[in-house]
Amino acid sequence: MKKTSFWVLVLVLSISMVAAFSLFDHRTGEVDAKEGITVYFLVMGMAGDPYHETIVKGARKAADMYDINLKVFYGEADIKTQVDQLETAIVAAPDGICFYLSDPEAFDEPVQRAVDAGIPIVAISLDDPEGSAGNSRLAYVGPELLESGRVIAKRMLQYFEKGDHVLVTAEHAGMVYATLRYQGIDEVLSAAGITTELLDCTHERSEIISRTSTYMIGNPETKGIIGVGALVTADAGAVIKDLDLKDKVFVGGFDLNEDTLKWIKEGYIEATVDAQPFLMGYLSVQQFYFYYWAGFSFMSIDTGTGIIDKENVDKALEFPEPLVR
Amino acid sequence: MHEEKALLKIENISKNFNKFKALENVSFELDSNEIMGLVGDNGAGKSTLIKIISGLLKPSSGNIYINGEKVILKSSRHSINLGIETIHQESSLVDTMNMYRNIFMGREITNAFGFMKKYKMIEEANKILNEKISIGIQSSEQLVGNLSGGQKQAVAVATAMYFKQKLLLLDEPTNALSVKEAQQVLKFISELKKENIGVIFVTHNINHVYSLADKFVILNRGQKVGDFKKENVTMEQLIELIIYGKEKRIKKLQ
Amino acid sequence: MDKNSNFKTILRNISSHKDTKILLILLGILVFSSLFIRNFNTWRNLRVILINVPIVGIVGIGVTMLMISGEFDLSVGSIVAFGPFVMLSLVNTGIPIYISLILSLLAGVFVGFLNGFIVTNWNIPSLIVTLGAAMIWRGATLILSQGSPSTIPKHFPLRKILAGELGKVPVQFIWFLLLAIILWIILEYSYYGNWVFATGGNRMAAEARGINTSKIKIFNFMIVGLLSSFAGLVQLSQLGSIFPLQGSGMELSAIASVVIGGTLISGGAGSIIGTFVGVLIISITNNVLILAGAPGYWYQLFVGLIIIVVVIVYSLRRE
Repeated sequence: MKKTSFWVLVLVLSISMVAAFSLFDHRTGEVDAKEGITVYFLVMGMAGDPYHETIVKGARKAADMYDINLKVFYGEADIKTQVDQLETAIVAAPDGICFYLSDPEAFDEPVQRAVDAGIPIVAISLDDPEGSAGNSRLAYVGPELLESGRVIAKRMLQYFEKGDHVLVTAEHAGMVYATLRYQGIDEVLSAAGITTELLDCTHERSEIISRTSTYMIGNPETKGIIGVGALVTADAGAVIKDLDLKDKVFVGGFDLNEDTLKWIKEGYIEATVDAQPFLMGYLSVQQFYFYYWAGFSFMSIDTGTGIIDKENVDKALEFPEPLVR
Repeated sequence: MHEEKALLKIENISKNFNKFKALENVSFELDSNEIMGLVGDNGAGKSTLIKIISGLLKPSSGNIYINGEKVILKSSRHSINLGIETIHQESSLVDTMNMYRNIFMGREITNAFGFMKKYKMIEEANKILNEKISIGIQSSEQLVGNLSGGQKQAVAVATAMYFKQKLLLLDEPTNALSVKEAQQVLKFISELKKENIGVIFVTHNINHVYSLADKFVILNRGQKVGDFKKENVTMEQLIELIIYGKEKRIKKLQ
Repeated sequence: MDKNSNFKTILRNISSHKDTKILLILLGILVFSSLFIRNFNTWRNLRVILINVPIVGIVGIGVTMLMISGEFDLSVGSIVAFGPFVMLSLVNTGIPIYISLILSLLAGVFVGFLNGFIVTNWNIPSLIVTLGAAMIWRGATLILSQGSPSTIPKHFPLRKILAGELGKVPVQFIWFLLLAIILWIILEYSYYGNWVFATGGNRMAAEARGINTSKIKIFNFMIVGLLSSFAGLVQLSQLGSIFPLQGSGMELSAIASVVIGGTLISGGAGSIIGTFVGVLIISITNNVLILAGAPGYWYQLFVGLIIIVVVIVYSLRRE
């Protein structure tokens, strides 16, 4: 009896899996293996995170347009896993590697080996704090985190006065993207006599909303909220609406998603810095084509200091595809 | 002349686990005011036999008759409904629950919607605890975990009596008890004879069961090697049969 | 004379009731916070707590019942995301919204059934089975969503019903309360509840008394699946959108609340009221820490401390 039920279970599971796959449109993410360049794309984040998924989407578009064979891997948020993936990629000796430089030391040695082995390797989204002096990656395509922190702070200055207090929220306050952006923000705001505080909110949205709301209730003199990531920015808008603080508290932040764009349009969020993750993915992969086609060298590109606010939000809103803007 | 059917008749019961023969052609009978000692060394097959009679295992072959009627025991609930109650060696009770929940476990008194009539259950439980046993348990709302091993066994037996079960299977009930508690439980069990309940007392401790039982069935390696009324067998003979599977010195008496 | 002893009995009954301690702790925290923490006692603030608590809470009460029967479920967080994405995917393929809703709830039930079936049929520890399930259903969510977040359809009829406001009270909290009451009644007053306690407390004894413990476990898994999917839908209604990684880590928050509420990890004892209070305690603690201006890194430390302290207090009580 137990044996039969086992095979019945296997059958049911297999059928449901096949049904699920065929019912919903999906791509395996690997362009057909024609003759062409193979690039390993190492994402150092979790699958399903909209920020990373947008980068990947940009990368895939370039791969499509330039006939590049793209292999995408997710390294979760763990440095050890990411380094291992890089090592594995180097062993596979592809035509190119894209990765996130998420740690100032850990990647120096493997990257050097890749370069020595003749594999062009480009960093995206996160860079060595010392830039090309600290690591031998051929180029960096992505936002300058520190600078983008300054950019949003400068944009938000118009709403504050000397002596005001601003809350800075982060999904993971200890991570590089958060600390660097916060540094930039604090630099600009402190120079103008404004105090800041960094609040860790986790990536769980109920928790983000709860913590941000509680902080605002406990510190009613707070004049602004700046979120350093996609989720905290979107949810800061929700909090402003919920606590009825529109035009009393001003919100700025990073990254785009449907929620944030909606809040900008409705006036709950003033501005957001678009790191343009789609372009990060696209422009980095595209460069491999130029390299192999005509020997052009790799360029470092600062993708991320564009501001989206009420003026230009409609263009972004109207873009029909998800995970592009 | 009327022939009284035995309460329980086990006929040629065998149980195989793949190639292993746990029980081989075991047969015996039990009447309703008899206490039968089912004895044998570890691994003789006693537990397996009890599990079969209590509905937890199905025999590989053989028949079971209750009051003359052949039955196929489909589950433990089926056995319980037929009047068979089993008390295992690890407590038959749940330590984390209170007395009345334990007593009525599986047989809760409920209304039409399935909700327990707690006041009724408490009332009945109090009756059971204070009238049938007198081991000093006062409130049926006490947690069972606070009781001693002997008290727990007594509660389990009293429960069976309350539900007017006809056959009681006791699987090594005195194993975890102190000498004094074991004596109390044994005395309690001996009073079951007056209630017309048949008892199968499984143990490998002859001392406990010898004075209590009316008859003995001895198992050795899955086979029945002896079936005696008490007056026809001595304790030494029993022990020999348990260990060696046959008597070394004296011829088998029927 | 009589009045006095009646009063004494009532007092004794209350003080020995299993939930009294945790309720007193909650009361203590509430009194302390109202007196000493600025802004705690405002409706604005309490509302934040009432909105935050139900999602984990609804999952938690299901987990409570399952844990009492002796099993764990680490896949709840994945179901919280999976359910809503099933609904949204179905709606996108043109299936009417109410049917999609019901199907998404059934998807949760199905996941629960699979968990329960595998655990009971082959006797594999639920910790392992549901760990695997967590990854499977998280993966399924990623595939369904293609990694992309999804927004709630503009005319989602039940949005107000699942996450609106009744008077001034957030509706999701009312759902939490209602579901908690229903499960509490079933657990404490029905014969099924007794069987749940028995199954977790001493499986062999329960089996000997004719209780089909496998069926009970499977059924409890299905309840957890249903409640998790429902919680996901409530969250979708509340936030207006859902990300494929939603709910990850929720299984641990749920277990923390359940344990603080007095349910034993070993099974056989526990309380829905306890979990209800446990969820509140954790949320209030976070809230108080922020209001009091504690540095952000302290929250996890504090919740962890509470768990340890509470668990030690419980085990002392038992000796």
